[in-house]
Amino acid sequence: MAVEWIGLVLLIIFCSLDRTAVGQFQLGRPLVCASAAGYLLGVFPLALQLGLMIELLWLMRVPVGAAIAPDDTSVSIGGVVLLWAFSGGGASQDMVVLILVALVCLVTAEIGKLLDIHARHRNEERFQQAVSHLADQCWQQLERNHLRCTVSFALSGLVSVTAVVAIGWIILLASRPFWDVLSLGHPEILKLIFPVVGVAAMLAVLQVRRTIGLFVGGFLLTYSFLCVVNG
Amino acid sequence: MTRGRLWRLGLRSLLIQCSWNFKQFQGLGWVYLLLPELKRLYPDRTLRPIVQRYLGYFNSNVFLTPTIAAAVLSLEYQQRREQPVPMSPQAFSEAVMAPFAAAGDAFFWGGLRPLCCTLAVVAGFLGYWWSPLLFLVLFNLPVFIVRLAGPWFGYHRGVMVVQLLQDYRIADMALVLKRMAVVVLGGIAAVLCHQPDVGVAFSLLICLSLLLTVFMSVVLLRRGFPLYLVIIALLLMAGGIDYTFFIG
Amino acid sequence: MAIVLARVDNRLIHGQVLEAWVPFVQADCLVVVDDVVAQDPFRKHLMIAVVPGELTVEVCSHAEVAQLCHNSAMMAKNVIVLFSTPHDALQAFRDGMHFPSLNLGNMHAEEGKRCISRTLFIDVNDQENLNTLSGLGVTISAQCIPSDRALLWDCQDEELKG
Repeated sequence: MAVEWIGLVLLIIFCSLDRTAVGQFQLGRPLVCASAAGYLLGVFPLALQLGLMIELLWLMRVPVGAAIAPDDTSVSIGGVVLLWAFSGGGASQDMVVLILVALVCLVTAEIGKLLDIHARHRNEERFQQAVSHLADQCWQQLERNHLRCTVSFALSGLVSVTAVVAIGWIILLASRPFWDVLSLGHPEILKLIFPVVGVAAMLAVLQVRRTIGLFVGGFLLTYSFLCVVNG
Repeated sequence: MTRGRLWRLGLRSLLIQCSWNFKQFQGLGWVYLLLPELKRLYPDRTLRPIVQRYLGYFNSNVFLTPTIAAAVLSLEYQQRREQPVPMSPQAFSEAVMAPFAAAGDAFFWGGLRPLCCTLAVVAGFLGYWWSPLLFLVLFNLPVFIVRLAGPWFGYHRGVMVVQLLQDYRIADMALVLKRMAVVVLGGIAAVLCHQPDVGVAFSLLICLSLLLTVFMSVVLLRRGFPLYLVIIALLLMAGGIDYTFFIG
Repeated sequence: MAIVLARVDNRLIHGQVLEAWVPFVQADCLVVVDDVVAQDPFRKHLMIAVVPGELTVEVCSHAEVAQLCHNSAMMAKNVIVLFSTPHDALQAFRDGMHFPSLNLGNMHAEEGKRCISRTLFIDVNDQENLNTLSGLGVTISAQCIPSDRALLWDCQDEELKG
């Protein structure tokens, strides 16, 4: 199991660096990092579901300039750790756990955002050091100083995943007595509320002309296609 | 500059945001990106004032920064060879960073990413396990091309690289991608409410209630209600309906 | 001219304006009031190039503000006005461009400026200009993108600190 956990820590570091500092290959999207973490911990199907549920929620927050979106990377990986710890009690109960974990993600996404802001403020000091490196013409140090800033981003990622897991653990333990009652309902349908609100959140921001027409068009087209395919 | 060195510029641009901060934004990364080529151009003693000019505020779209850098370097080379330049490299970078940010952000963050994400989500809800991979490939392919071809265009066209934004009508392409994303969002809604074996009346009920939920949520979110409140309210409402009609 | 947003942003037209504000306020016209850009054909051309075809862009100098405000084609449009400094905003207001509220987006750090929010750095002149605008009845608030919380400016700028 040790290998998996080392892999998970590396995954957290890679994904939280990819968000801003290095690469921007979009490894930090919930869909990607949740399913990767799920694969590592052996809960891939549930993790993929979690990724799909929270993928669209903050997608349209502009990730540029000083505008910082809630940290969906940390919550997805933290959420998968919670799924690994609390799932396994039958299909219906797993769905209840999945919804609760997604709720935890929703509420704790601000933690990572605050830590991210903190990391960026720390980098301002690095810039001051770079100015003095320039004065001394230490080019190598200037470059190394720039690269060293990744440490603060990686640390903020690790801390926020830990915080998400800790908070989520408490919430899930506290809610455990109610799981049986909750799983009597139809949690597999209730969980669809997340992607539905995700769609709404995107539509609310993607204000192009004729939004309603395009949306309904896409809906009807896909629906009839699915009907034809399924007979 | 040889093609290999232009590629290295593109690769180096993967690291420009390492030291992103609220005062100079990508400022230090911008110097990091230019430094190896500036070192080639200027011997050690004259390098300092040159770097000094670049070390300050810089911010643009990450994927287009290598293009700007290559154009700036081509101006630097011309200046070094004492050829006439249309404008100073610093003035050029200051003038283009905001417009490039506008075009790049609209295209990559506003158009391409939503479209790729929504397509991957459709695949995911249809039950295909490779949907995360689909997203990564769809998004990174154009990005990869821009990151590697951008420096080449930037170096060879110099100041005129800005013409590319207009020639390819980037801003309008971004709008087209956005419209496509809206269509795919409709597709996601359809996949979510498609149930094969429930009869016409019940399917109609599901579709209508789902579309109504989407519409109501859009209105609430546009009014500024927080996302988590909307979701919790909907969960409670749907849970209540579920409990009264289907269990109790 | 229906001004749906007046904004101070040293980068003028960029991602936050096009991606977040234009859809949020449903604007169909952008007006940039800036003497430097208006006299620089290269930058002017570039600004127009990055805006999608369905938005119109006007780049004008302060001398043209009064004329623009009485332009009948502009009357019917939802306009976003962009300034690069509070000084430009004040001057345009005095020239007859009466926006009811002013949004502060980005004013980047320079020597001798103090930080009043994550993205805003002002010096004494900026503060004076903003106080004057506030005195003229303009509601001033700091908000980078619509989903951020708006911080209100008052003359003592108590809330806008930190």
